[in-house]
Amino acid sequence: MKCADVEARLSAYLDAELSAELSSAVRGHLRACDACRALAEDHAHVIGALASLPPAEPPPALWAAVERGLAAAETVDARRSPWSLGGARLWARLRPHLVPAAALAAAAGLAVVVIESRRGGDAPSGSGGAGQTPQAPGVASGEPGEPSPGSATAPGSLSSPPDPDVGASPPAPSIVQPKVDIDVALAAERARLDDVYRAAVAELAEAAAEERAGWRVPEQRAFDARIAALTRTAELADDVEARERAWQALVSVLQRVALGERVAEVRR
Amino acid sequence: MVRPRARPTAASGPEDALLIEACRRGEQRAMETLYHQYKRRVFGLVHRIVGAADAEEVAQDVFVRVFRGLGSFRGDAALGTWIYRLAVNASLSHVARRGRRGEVGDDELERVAAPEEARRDPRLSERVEAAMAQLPAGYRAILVLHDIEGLSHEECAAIMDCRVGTSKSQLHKARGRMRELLGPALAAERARGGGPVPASDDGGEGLA
Repeated sequence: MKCADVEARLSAYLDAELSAELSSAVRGHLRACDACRALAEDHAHVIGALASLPPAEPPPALWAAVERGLAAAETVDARRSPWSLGGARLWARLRPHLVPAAALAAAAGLAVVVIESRRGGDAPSGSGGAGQTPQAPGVASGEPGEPSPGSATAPGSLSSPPDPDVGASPPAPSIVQPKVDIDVALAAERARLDDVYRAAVAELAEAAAEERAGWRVPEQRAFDARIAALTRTAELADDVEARERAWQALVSVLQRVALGERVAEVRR
Repeated sequence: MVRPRARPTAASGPEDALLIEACRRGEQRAMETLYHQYKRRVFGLVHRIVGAADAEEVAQDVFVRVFRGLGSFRGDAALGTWIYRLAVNASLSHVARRGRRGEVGDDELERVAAPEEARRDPRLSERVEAAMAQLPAGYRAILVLHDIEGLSHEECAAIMDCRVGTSKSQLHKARGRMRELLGPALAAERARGGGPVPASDDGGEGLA
Protein backbone atom coordinates (compact mmCIF):
# COMPACT_ATOMS: atom_id res chain seq x y z
CA MET A 1 0.00 0.00 0.00
CA LYS A 2 1.39 3.40 -1.04
CA CYS A 3 1.05 6.77 0.66
CA ALA A 4 -1.63 7.94 -1.79
CA ASP A 5 -3.67 4.80 -1.08
CA VAL A 6 -3.46 5.44 2.64
CA GLU A 7 -4.28 9.11 2.34
CA ALA A 8 -7.40 8.35 0.30
CA ARG A 9 -8.58 5.87 2.93
CA LEU A 10 -7.74 7.80 6.09
CA SER A 11 -11.26 8.97 6.82
CA ALA A 12 -12.71 5.53 6.23
CA TYR A 13 -9.95 3.98 8.36
CA LEU A 14 -10.52 6.34 11.27
CA ASP A 15 -14.29 5.78 11.05
CA ALA A 16 -13.74 1.99 11.16
CA GLU A 17 -15.36 1.57 7.76
CA LEU A 18 -12.57 -0.47 6.16
CA SER A 19 -12.41 -4.24 6.09
CA ALA A 20 -10.13 -5.93 8.59
CA GLU A 21 -7.59 -6.61 5.86
CA LEU A 22 -7.51 -3.03 4.62
CA SER A 23 -7.37 -1.67 8.16
CA SER A 24 -4.40 -3.91 8.88
CA ALA A 25 -2.65 -2.73 5.73
CA VAL A 26 -3.25 0.93 6.59
CA ARG A 27 -2.04 0.36 10.13
CA GLY A 28 1.05 -1.41 8.84
CA HIS A 29 1.83 1.50 6.53
CA LEU A 30 1.36 4.02 9.33
CA ARG A 31 3.87 2.14 11.48
CA ALA A 32 6.51 2.56 8.81
CA CYS A 33 5.72 5.96 7.25
CA ASP A 34 6.29 9.07 9.39
CA ALA A 35 4.56 11.42 6.95
CA CYS A 36 1.39 9.35 6.74
CA ARG A 37 1.37 8.80 10.48
CA ALA A 38 1.54 12.57 11.02
CA LEU A 39 -1.30 13.00 8.54
CA ALA A 40 -3.36 10.35 10.29
CA GLU A 41 -2.74 11.97 13.67
CA ASP A 42 -3.83 15.32 12.28
CA HIS A 43 -7.03 13.80 10.93
CA ALA A 44 -7.66 12.07 14.23
CA HIS A 45 -7.08 15.36 16.07
CA VAL A 46 -9.57 17.11 13.79
CA ILE A 47 -12.18 14.41 14.30
CA GLY A 48 -11.62 14.32 18.03
CA ALA A 49 -11.75 18.09 18.32
CA LEU A 50 -15.01 18.25 16.38
CA ALA A 51 -16.58 15.55 18.53
CA SER A 52 -15.44 17.37 21.67
CA LEU A 53 -16.93 20.72 20.73
CA PRO A 54 -19.29 21.99 23.40
CA PRO A 55 -22.93 21.92 22.34
CA ALA A 56 -24.40 25.16 21.07
CA GLU A 57 -27.09 26.00 23.61
CA PRO A 58 -30.27 27.42 22.09
CA PRO A 59 -31.34 30.75 23.59
CA PRO A 60 -34.20 30.51 26.10
CA ALA A 61 -36.28 32.83 23.92
CA LEU A 62 -36.25 30.46 20.96
CA TRP A 63 -39.45 28.62 21.89
CA ALA A 64 -41.31 31.89 22.28
CA ALA A 65 -40.02 32.91 18.85
CA VAL A 66 -41.24 29.63 17.38
CA GLU A 67 -44.68 30.18 18.91
CA ARG A 68 -44.77 33.68 17.44
CA GLY A 69 -43.79 32.29 14.04
CA LEU A 70 -46.55 29.68 14.19
CA ALA A 71 -49.10 32.27 15.26
CA ALA A 72 -48.09 34.58 12.40
CA ALA A 73 -48.34 31.75 9.86
CA GLU A 74 -51.78 30.76 11.15
CA THR A 75 -52.95 34.37 10.95
CA VAL A 76 -51.91 34.45 7.29
CA ASP A 77 -53.71 31.13 6.72
CA ALA A 78 -56.90 32.59 8.15
CA ARG A 79 -56.88 35.32 5.49
CA ARG A 80 -56.73 32.86 2.63
CA SER A 81 -59.49 31.08 0.82
CA PRO A 82 -59.76 27.30 1.03
CA TRP A 83 -58.61 27.10 -2.59
CA SER A 84 -55.31 28.76 -1.90
CA LEU A 85 -54.68 26.58 1.13
CA GLY A 86 -55.23 23.32 -0.68
CA GLY A 87 -52.84 23.42 -3.60
CA ALA A 88 -52.48 19.67 -3.79
CA ARG A 89 -56.20 19.16 -3.33
CA LEU A 90 -56.88 21.65 -6.10
CA TRP A 91 -54.86 19.69 -8.60
CA ALA A 92 -56.34 16.43 -7.38
CA ARG A 93 -59.73 17.93 -8.15
CA LEU A 94 -58.71 19.14 -11.59
CA ARG A 95 -56.57 16.22 -12.71
CA PRO A 96 -59.40 13.76 -13.42
CA HIS A 97 -60.81 16.24 -15.88
CA LEU A 98 -57.56 16.69 -17.76
CA VAL A 99 -56.96 13.08 -18.76
CA PRO A 100 -60.25 12.44 -20.56
CA ALA A 101 -59.87 15.73 -22.39
CA ALA A 102 -56.44 14.73 -23.66
CA ALA A 103 -57.71 11.30 -24.63
CA LEU A 104 -60.62 12.85 -26.48
CA ALA A 105 -58.30 15.23 -28.27
CA ALA A 106 -56.14 12.30 -29.36
CA ALA A 107 -59.22 10.38 -30.47
CA ALA A 108 -60.45 13.38 -32.42
CA GLY A 109 -57.13 13.61 -34.20
CA LEU A 110 -57.29 9.93 -35.06
CA ALA A 111 -60.85 10.19 -36.33
CA VAL A 112 -59.98 13.15 -38.54
CA VAL A 113 -57.12 11.19 -40.05
CA VAL A 114 -59.41 8.25 -40.72
CA ILE A 115 -62.09 10.44 -42.24
CA GLU A 116 -59.65 12.34 -44.39
CA SER A 117 -58.17 9.04 -45.52
CA ARG A 118 -61.64 7.75 -46.32
CA ARG A 119 -62.57 10.85 -48.29
CA GLY A 120 -59.38 10.74 -50.23
CA GLY A 121 -59.96 7.08 -51.11
CA ASP A 122 -63.61 7.56 -52.12
CA ALA A 123 -63.14 10.59 -54.26
CA PRO A 124 -61.81 9.05 -57.47
CA SER A 125 -64.06 6.01 -57.96
CA GLY A 126 -65.82 5.02 -54.74
CA SER A 127 -64.92 1.37 -55.05
CA GLY A 128 -61.21 0.89 -54.61
CA GLY A 129 -61.01 3.13 -51.56
CA ALA A 130 -63.91 1.54 -49.75
CA GLY A 131 -62.10 -1.73 -49.64
CA GLN A 132 -59.15 -0.04 -47.90
CA THR A 133 -61.09 1.06 -44.84
CA PRO A 134 -62.93 -1.85 -43.33
CA GLN A 135 -61.32 -1.22 -39.93
CA ALA A 136 -62.08 2.45 -39.82
CA PRO A 137 -65.50 2.25 -38.14
CA GLY A 138 -64.19 0.05 -35.39
CA VAL A 139 -61.19 2.21 -34.72
CA ALA A 140 -63.04 5.45 -34.80
CA SER A 141 -66.08 4.37 -32.85
CA GLY A 142 -64.09 2.63 -30.17
CA GLU A 143 -62.62 5.77 -28.62
CA PRO A 144 -65.76 7.79 -27.99
CA GLY A 145 -67.41 4.79 -26.44
CA GLU A 146 -68.66 6.89 -23.52
CA PRO A 147 -70.16 9.94 -25.12
CA SER A 148 -72.42 12.05 -23.05
CA PRO A 149 -76.12 11.31 -23.38
CA GLY A 150 -77.47 12.87 -26.50
CA SER A 151 -74.16 12.93 -28.23
CA ALA A 152 -75.32 10.33 -30.75
CA THR A 153 -76.68 13.14 -32.79
CA ALA A 154 -78.53 13.33 -36.07
CA PRO A 155 -76.66 13.91 -39.30
CA GLY A 156 -77.89 17.46 -39.27
CA SER A 157 -75.23 18.41 -36.77
CA LEU A 158 -72.38 17.19 -38.92
CA SER A 159 -69.64 19.68 -39.25
CA SER A 160 -68.84 18.38 -42.73
CA PRO A 161 -71.38 18.41 -45.59
CA PRO A 162 -73.57 15.32 -45.63
CA ASP A 163 -72.55 12.70 -48.14
CA PRO A 164 -75.16 12.58 -50.92
CA ASP A 165 -74.41 8.89 -51.39
CA VAL A 166 -74.90 8.04 -47.74
CA GLY A 167 -77.86 5.76 -48.43
CA ALA A 168 -76.07 3.84 -51.17
CA SER A 169 -72.86 3.34 -49.28
CA PRO A 170 -73.43 1.55 -45.95
CA PRO A 171 -69.97 2.01 -44.49
CA ALA A 172 -70.03 5.78 -44.86
CA PRO A 173 -72.39 6.68 -41.98
CA SER A 174 -70.46 4.50 -39.55
CA ILE A 175 -67.28 6.32 -40.50
CA VAL A 176 -68.73 9.80 -40.24
CA GLN A 177 -70.76 9.06 -37.10
CA PRO A 178 -67.72 8.84 -34.77
CA LYS A 179 -66.66 12.34 -35.74
CA VAL A 180 -70.05 13.64 -34.73
CA ASP A 181 -69.79 11.92 -31.36
CA ILE A 182 -66.30 13.17 -30.78
CA ASP A 183 -67.11 16.75 -31.69
CA VAL A 184 -70.07 16.84 -29.37
CA ALA A 185 -68.31 15.00 -26.58
CA LEU A 186 -65.28 17.22 -26.96
CA ALA A 187 -67.40 20.35 -26.77
CA ALA A 188 -69.19 19.04 -23.70
CA GLU A 189 -65.94 18.08 -22.03
CA ARG A 190 -64.44 21.44 -22.88
CA ALA A 191 -67.41 23.25 -21.40
CA ARG A 192 -67.21 21.14 -18.26
CA LEU A 193 -63.48 21.80 -17.95
CA ASP A 194 -64.00 25.51 -18.45
CA ASP A 195 -66.57 25.53 -15.66
CA VAL A 196 -64.22 23.75 -13.28
CA TYR A 197 -61.36 26.08 -14.11
CA ARG A 198 -63.57 29.17 -13.88
CA ALA A 199 -64.67 28.17 -10.40
CA ALA A 200 -61.08 27.60 -9.32
CA VAL A 201 -59.90 30.85 -10.84
CA ALA A 202 -62.72 32.84 -9.23
CA GLU A 203 -61.84 31.59 -5.77
CA LEU A 204 -58.11 31.96 -6.25
CA ALA A 205 -58.54 35.44 -7.66
CA GLU A 206 -60.16 36.56 -4.41
CA ALA A 207 -57.19 35.35 -2.38
CA ALA A 208 -54.70 36.74 -4.90
CA ALA A 209 -56.41 40.13 -4.79
CA GLU A 210 -55.52 40.46 -1.12
CA GLU A 211 -51.85 39.93 -1.89
CA ARG A 212 -52.03 42.20 -4.94
CA ALA A 213 -53.39 45.03 -2.80
CA GLY A 214 -50.02 45.28 -1.07
CA TRP A 215 -48.02 45.61 -4.27
CA ARG A 216 -46.71 48.68 -6.02
CA VAL A 217 -48.83 50.03 -8.89
CA PRO A 218 -46.48 48.89 -11.71
CA GLU A 219 -46.51 45.40 -10.25
CA GLN A 220 -50.28 45.41 -10.04
CA ARG A 221 -50.47 46.46 -13.68
CA ALA A 222 -48.06 43.75 -14.79
CA PHE A 223 -50.06 41.21 -12.81
CA ASP A 224 -53.36 42.41 -14.27
CA ALA A 225 -51.96 42.27 -17.81
CA ARG A 226 -50.67 38.75 -17.30
CA ILE A 227 -53.99 37.56 -15.88
CA ALA A 228 -55.94 39.25 -18.67
CA ALA A 229 -53.79 37.65 -21.37
CA LEU A 230 -54.11 34.20 -19.86
CA THR A 231 -57.85 34.62 -19.39
CA ARG A 232 -58.30 35.65 -23.03
CA THR A 233 -56.42 32.59 -24.22
CA ALA A 234 -58.26 30.30 -21.82
CA GLU A 235 -61.68 31.59 -22.88
CA LEU A 236 -61.13 32.12 -26.58
CA ALA A 237 -58.53 29.73 -27.93
CA ASP A 238 -59.97 27.14 -30.30
CA ASP A 239 -57.23 24.65 -29.64
CA VAL A 240 -58.15 22.46 -26.68
CA GLU A 241 -54.60 22.01 -25.51
CA ALA A 242 -53.87 25.75 -25.73
CA ARG A 243 -56.96 26.42 -23.60
CA GLU A 244 -55.90 23.91 -21.02
CA ARG A 245 -52.39 25.27 -20.88
CA ALA A 246 -53.77 28.77 -20.39
CA TRP A 247 -56.16 27.66 -17.63
CA GLN A 248 -53.38 25.79 -15.88
CA ALA A 249 -51.03 28.77 -16.17
CA LEU A 250 -53.75 31.05 -14.85
CA VAL A 251 -54.46 28.81 -11.87
CA SER A 252 -50.75 28.42 -11.20
CA VAL A 253 -50.05 32.17 -11.22
CA LEU A 254 -53.05 32.94 -9.02
CA GLN A 255 -52.25 30.14 -6.64
CA ARG A 256 -48.65 31.23 -6.21
CA VAL A 257 -49.69 34.83 -5.65
CA ALA A 258 -52.40 33.76 -3.21
CA LEU A 259 -49.79 31.82 -1.26
CA GLY A 260 -47.73 34.96 -0.94
CA GLU A 261 -45.11 34.00 -3.47
CA ARG A 262 -43.54 36.81 -5.40
CA VAL A 263 -44.21 35.58 -8.90
CA ALA A 264 -41.23 36.51 -11.06
CA GLU A 265 -43.13 37.59 -14.16
CA VAL A 266 -45.12 40.19 -12.26
CA ARG A 267 -42.65 41.26 -9.59
CA ARG A 268 -39.87 42.84 -11.56
CA MET B 1 -0.98 3.98 17.21
CA VAL B 2 -3.82 5.88 15.55
CA ARG B 3 -6.86 3.64 15.73
CA PRO B 4 -10.45 3.94 14.55
CA ARG B 5 -12.84 5.49 17.00
CA ALA B 6 -16.07 4.07 18.28
CA ARG B 7 -19.23 5.55 16.78
CA PRO B 8 -22.66 5.81 18.29
CA THR B 9 -25.52 4.14 16.50
CA ALA B 10 -28.67 5.88 15.50
CA ALA B 11 -31.82 4.76 17.21
CA SER B 12 -35.44 5.39 16.45
CA GLY B 13 -37.84 6.19 19.24
CA PRO B 14 -41.11 4.23 19.21
CA GLU B 15 -42.81 7.07 21.03
CA ASP B 16 -42.33 9.37 18.05
CA ALA B 17 -45.57 8.26 16.38
CA LEU B 18 -47.63 9.27 19.42
CA LEU B 19 -45.78 12.54 19.72
CA ILE B 20 -46.32 13.34 16.04
CA GLU B 21 -50.04 12.59 16.28
CA ALA B 22 -50.39 14.82 19.33
CA CYS B 23 -48.49 17.62 17.58
CA ARG B 24 -50.72 17.26 14.53
CA ARG B 25 -53.71 17.80 16.80
CA GLY B 26 -52.04 20.97 17.99
CA GLU B 27 -51.48 19.84 21.57
CA GLN B 28 -49.26 22.39 23.24
CA ARG B 29 -47.46 19.98 25.57
CA ALA B 30 -46.61 17.62 22.74
CA MET B 31 -45.23 20.47 20.66
CA GLU B 32 -43.10 21.67 23.53
CA THR B 33 -41.87 18.12 24.14
CA LEU B 34 -40.86 17.73 20.53
CA TYR B 35 -39.18 21.12 20.59
CA HIS B 36 -37.15 20.31 23.69
CA GLN B 37 -36.26 16.91 22.27
CA TYR B 38 -34.69 18.43 19.18
CA LYS B 39 -33.78 22.00 20.11
CA ARG B 40 -30.10 21.37 20.85
CA ARG B 41 -29.52 19.28 17.76
CA VAL B 42 -31.35 21.70 15.48
CA PHE B 43 -29.80 24.79 17.00
CA GLY B 44 -26.32 23.25 17.05
CA LEU B 45 -26.58 22.29 13.41
CA VAL B 46 -28.00 25.63 12.34
CA HIS B 47 -25.56 27.57 14.50
CA ARG B 48 -22.55 25.90 12.93
CA ILE B 49 -23.79 26.25 9.36
CA VAL B 50 -25.17 29.79 9.36
CA GLY B 51 -23.16 31.28 12.23
CA ALA B 52 -24.16 32.71 15.58
CA ALA B 53 -25.66 35.94 14.26
CA ASP B 54 -28.43 34.28 12.25
CA ALA B 55 -28.78 31.01 14.17
CA GLU B 56 -31.83 31.96 16.21
CA GLU B 57 -33.73 33.31 13.21
CA VAL B 58 -33.04 30.21 11.12
CA ALA B 59 -33.72 27.79 14.00
CA GLN B 60 -37.06 29.51 14.57
CA ASP B 61 -37.86 29.07 10.89
CA VAL B 62 -36.89 25.40 11.05
CA PHE B 63 -39.22 24.67 13.97
CA VAL B 64 -42.08 26.57 12.36
CA ARG B 65 -41.55 24.42 9.25
CA VAL B 66 -41.40 21.30 11.39
CA PHE B 67 -44.70 21.95 13.14
CA ARG B 68 -46.47 23.10 10.00
CA GLY B 69 -45.04 20.23 8.00
CA LEU B 70 -45.86 17.43 10.44
CA GLY B 71 -49.23 17.04 8.78
CA SER B 72 -47.55 15.88 5.59
CA PHE B 73 -44.80 13.88 7.32
CA ARG B 74 -45.45 10.33 6.18
CA GLY B 75 -42.86 8.58 8.29
CA ASP B 76 -40.81 7.35 5.32
CA ALA B 77 -37.74 8.56 7.20
CA ALA B 78 -37.15 8.72 10.94
CA LEU B 79 -38.52 11.87 12.51
CA GLY B 80 -35.00 12.97 13.42
CA THR B 81 -33.77 12.51 9.87
CA TRP B 82 -36.68 14.54 8.56
CA ILE B 83 -36.08 17.35 11.06
CA TYR B 84 -32.37 17.38 10.29
CA ARG B 85 -33.18 17.57 6.58
CA LEU B 86 -35.40 20.61 7.16
CA ALA B 87 -32.67 22.18 9.27
CA VAL B 88 -29.91 21.53 6.74
CA ASN B 89 -32.02 22.78 3.83
CA ALA B 90 -33.08 25.92 5.69
CA SER B 91 -29.49 26.59 6.75
CA LEU B 92 -27.96 26.06 3.32
CA SER B 93 -30.69 28.17 1.71
CA HIS B 94 -30.04 30.92 4.23
CA VAL B 95 -26.30 30.83 3.54
CA ALA B 96 -26.93 30.88 -0.21
CA ARG B 97 -29.22 33.91 0.11
CA ARG B 98 -26.83 35.69 2.38
CA GLY B 99 -23.80 34.98 0.21
CA ARG B 100 -20.61 35.36 2.08
CA ARG B 101 -21.84 38.31 4.07
CA GLY B 102 -21.24 37.85 7.75
CA GLU B 103 -19.00 34.81 7.50
CA VAL B 104 -15.85 34.66 9.56
CA GLY B 105 -12.87 35.92 7.64
CA ASP B 106 -9.20 35.01 7.63
CA ASP B 107 -8.55 37.76 10.15
CA GLU B 108 -10.56 35.93 12.78
CA LEU B 109 -8.48 32.79 12.33
CA GLU B 110 -5.33 34.78 12.75
CA ARG B 111 -6.65 36.35 15.92
CA VAL B 112 -7.03 32.87 17.35
CA ALA B 113 -3.28 32.44 17.42
CA ALA B 114 -1.45 29.16 17.94
CA PRO B 115 -0.48 28.60 21.58
CA GLU B 116 3.07 29.01 22.75
CA GLU B 117 2.77 26.77 25.75
CA ALA B 118 3.43 23.04 25.47
CA ARG B 119 0.13 21.82 26.89
CA ARG B 120 -3.31 21.01 25.59
CA ASP B 121 -4.51 24.04 23.67
CA PRO B 122 -7.25 25.54 25.83
CA ARG B 123 -8.60 27.48 22.86
CA LEU B 124 -8.85 24.49 20.57
CA SER B 125 -12.64 24.68 20.46
CA GLU B 126 -12.55 28.30 19.38
CA ARG B 127 -9.93 27.48 16.81
CA VAL B 128 -12.00 24.60 15.45
CA GLU B 129 -15.16 26.70 15.30
CA ALA B 130 -13.26 29.47 13.51
CA ALA B 131 -11.80 26.99 11.04
CA MET B 132 -15.23 25.53 10.38
CA ALA B 133 -16.52 28.98 9.59
CA GLN B 134 -13.97 29.12 6.77
CA LEU B 135 -15.40 26.06 5.04
CA PRO B 136 -18.05 25.99 2.34
CA ALA B 137 -21.49 25.51 3.88
CA GLY B 138 -21.81 21.99 2.48
CA TYR B 139 -18.60 20.92 4.22
CA ARG B 140 -19.83 22.45 7.44
CA ALA B 141 -23.06 20.51 7.14
CA ILE B 142 -21.39 17.13 6.67
CA LEU B 143 -18.91 17.79 9.50
CA VAL B 144 -21.72 18.70 11.88
CA LEU B 145 -23.89 15.76 10.91
CA HIS B 146 -21.16 13.12 10.92
CA ASP B 147 -18.41 14.25 13.25
CA ILE B 148 -20.33 16.35 15.76
CA GLU B 149 -23.78 14.74 15.77
CA GLY B 150 -22.34 11.30 15.14
CA LEU B 151 -24.70 10.25 12.36
CA SER B 152 -23.87 7.49 9.92
CA HIS B 153 -23.13 8.15 6.28
CA GLU B 154 -26.45 6.55 5.38
CA GLU B 155 -28.24 9.06 7.60
CA CYS B 156 -26.12 11.95 6.31
CA ALA B 157 -26.90 10.95 2.72
CA ALA B 158 -30.63 10.77 3.47
CA ILE B 159 -30.54 14.19 5.12
CA MET B 160 -28.45 15.86 2.43
CA ASP B 161 -30.22 14.05 -0.39
CA CYS B 162 -27.05 12.59 -1.87
CA ARG B 163 -25.40 9.23 -2.30
CA VAL B 164 -23.55 7.55 0.54
CA GLY B 165 -20.37 7.71 -1.51
CA THR B 166 -20.81 11.45 -1.93
CA SER B 167 -21.28 11.84 1.81
CA LYS B 168 -18.03 9.95 2.43
CA SER B 169 -16.01 11.88 -0.12
CA GLN B 170 -17.38 15.22 1.10
CA LEU B 171 -16.47 14.32 4.65
CA HIS B 172 -12.96 13.32 3.65
CA LYS B 173 -12.46 16.61 1.78
CA ALA B 174 -13.96 18.62 4.64
CA ARG B 175 -11.65 17.01 7.18
CA GLY B 176 -8.69 17.58 4.87
CA ARG B 177 -9.60 21.25 4.60
CA MET B 178 -9.95 21.48 8.37
CA ARG B 179 -6.50 19.93 8.74
CA GLU B 180 -5.07 22.59 6.45
CA LEU B 181 -6.82 25.41 8.29
CA LEU B 182 -5.77 24.09 11.69
CA GLY B 183 -2.26 23.29 10.52
CA PRO B 184 -0.25 25.23 13.13
CA ALA B 185 -2.43 24.08 15.99
CA LEU B 186 -2.24 20.47 14.89
CA ALA B 187 1.53 20.69 14.53
CA ALA B 188 1.69 22.02 18.08
CA GLU B 189 -0.44 19.12 19.30
CA ARG B 190 1.88 16.68 17.58
CA ALA B 191 4.97 18.42 18.95
CA ARG B 192 3.55 17.99 22.43
CA GLY B 193 3.46 14.30 21.69
CA GLY B 194 -0.09 13.91 22.88
CA GLY B 195 -2.37 11.43 21.22
CA PRO B 196 -5.39 12.58 19.32
CA VAL B 197 -8.19 14.14 21.26
CA PRO B 198 -10.27 11.17 22.40
CA ALA B 199 -13.73 11.01 20.92
CA SER B 200 -16.32 10.34 23.55
CA ASP B 201 -18.30 7.17 23.04
CA ASP B 202 -21.52 8.96 23.87
CA GLY B 203 -20.74 12.03 21.83
CA GLY B 204 -23.81 11.76 19.60
CA GLU B 205 -27.39 11.39 20.62
CA GLY B 206 -28.19 9.51 17.41
CA LEU B 207 -31.35 10.07 15.51
CA ALA B 208 -34.60 9.56 17.27
